[in-house]
Amino acid sequence: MTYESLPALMNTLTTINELAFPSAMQEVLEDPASDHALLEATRTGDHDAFAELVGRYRNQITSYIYRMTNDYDGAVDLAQETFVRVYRAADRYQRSYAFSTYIYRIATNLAISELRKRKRRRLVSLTGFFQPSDGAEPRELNPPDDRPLQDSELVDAERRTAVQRAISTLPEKYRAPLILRDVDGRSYEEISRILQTSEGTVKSRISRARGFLREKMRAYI
Amino acid sequence: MRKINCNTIRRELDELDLNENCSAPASLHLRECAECLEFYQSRTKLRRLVGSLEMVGAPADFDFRLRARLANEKARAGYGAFAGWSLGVRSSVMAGLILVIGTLVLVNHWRNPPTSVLVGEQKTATAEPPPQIETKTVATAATTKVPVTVASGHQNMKVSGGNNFVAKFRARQAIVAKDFSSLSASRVRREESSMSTSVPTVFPIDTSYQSLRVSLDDGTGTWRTISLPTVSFGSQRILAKGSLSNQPTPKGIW
Repeated sequence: MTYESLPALMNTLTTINELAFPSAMQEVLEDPASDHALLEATRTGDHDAFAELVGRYRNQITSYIYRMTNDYDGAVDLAQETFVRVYRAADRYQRSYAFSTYIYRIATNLAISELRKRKRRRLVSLTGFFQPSDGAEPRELNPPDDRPLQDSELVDAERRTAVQRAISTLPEKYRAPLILRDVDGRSYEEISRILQTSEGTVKSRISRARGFLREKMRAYI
Repeated sequence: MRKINCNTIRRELDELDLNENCSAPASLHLRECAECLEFYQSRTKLRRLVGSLEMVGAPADFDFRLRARLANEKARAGYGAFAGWSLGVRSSVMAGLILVIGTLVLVNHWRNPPTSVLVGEQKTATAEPPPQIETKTVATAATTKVPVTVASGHQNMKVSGGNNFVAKFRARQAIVAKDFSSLSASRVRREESSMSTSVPTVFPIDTSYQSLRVSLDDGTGTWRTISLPTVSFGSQRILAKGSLSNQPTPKGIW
């Protein structure tokens, strides 16, 4: 075989491949229970498919936004807004990435917008009175109690509360990658897609976030 | 050298999954370096602590509320293109539209003033007492564009043909140009203030044997004087012969 005949052979192979696996057939072969298929069905007006999607992701998204905002009611509202946006943009959805990446990106954007809104509003909260005005890190309001506790569950609950509070004091650019990595257990690659940054940036931010958190959680580690 | 090595090892340890084993060089380094070992242990503990946060579930009525929200969205979509706009935005848009339309109307009015208003202005100018400098307006059927000098009070505004833009701009607002070809010529009267406007009267011309001189502005600021020949009628000549044969008719009727 000569080099000149190679392109012709490639064309023939492509044609055979298309004949064997036409794109329409590939869509048929797709798992009907996949996220993409459900969203496709939602686009055609299948409400049950959308309900299935909501059922798959409602807890994950609510929990993620709650970890980001530290406000349960607000997190539920934002989670609903996330699904509303998915439903509204179903026609424009592209299958470039996994659906989970897509929905987490929407949720992240909403959570960050909410955090920025809160900053602008400058809500006078109780914690605000105890925050130093010189820009230093806020002091821990609920310092660890050195007295022995009877119940180990209480200890765990207190630790979790302290962790959640410490996470909520992180800057938003460190908070999202840390939650996605250490709470949700997502890969660096997926996090970089969700946050639309490079993997190196994600790794660096997560490392810095852990450093901040370690300082805040020194009493528990 | 050791510092760089520690940083490299720590970065590697930091990027590991929780249950993933570190590489052989890293393990070797951890045996030798107490600081890195402490770092590794504290980080692992922290990650376990953070990972211990449980998933916070959505409320039971999440689906119901979501359906209601979507139904509400659809109902709002019934408003069409203004669905997503709040009341304030809608009001602002309406106010802006009204402002734009009003501006357009004003600009249009300024560029093309309505004829009726100008005729009224002209009549007003005619009804006023004659100005100091007598300016007569003559319309002829052959003339398509006859410049008119508008008397404003007791002074005349003339349109000069110069290049002064401001003067042109002002004159554009003041001058009235009108096509008189379809109208009858205006009648020149004397002592209009003493005459009734409704009763047609004859206008005696004192200088019956003198030519009538009329000054016209051609619109570019140039004045042209036209002399009209003396007009007399047969009865006038008879009367003139009967009374004073050696004198020209002192007064004629024209």
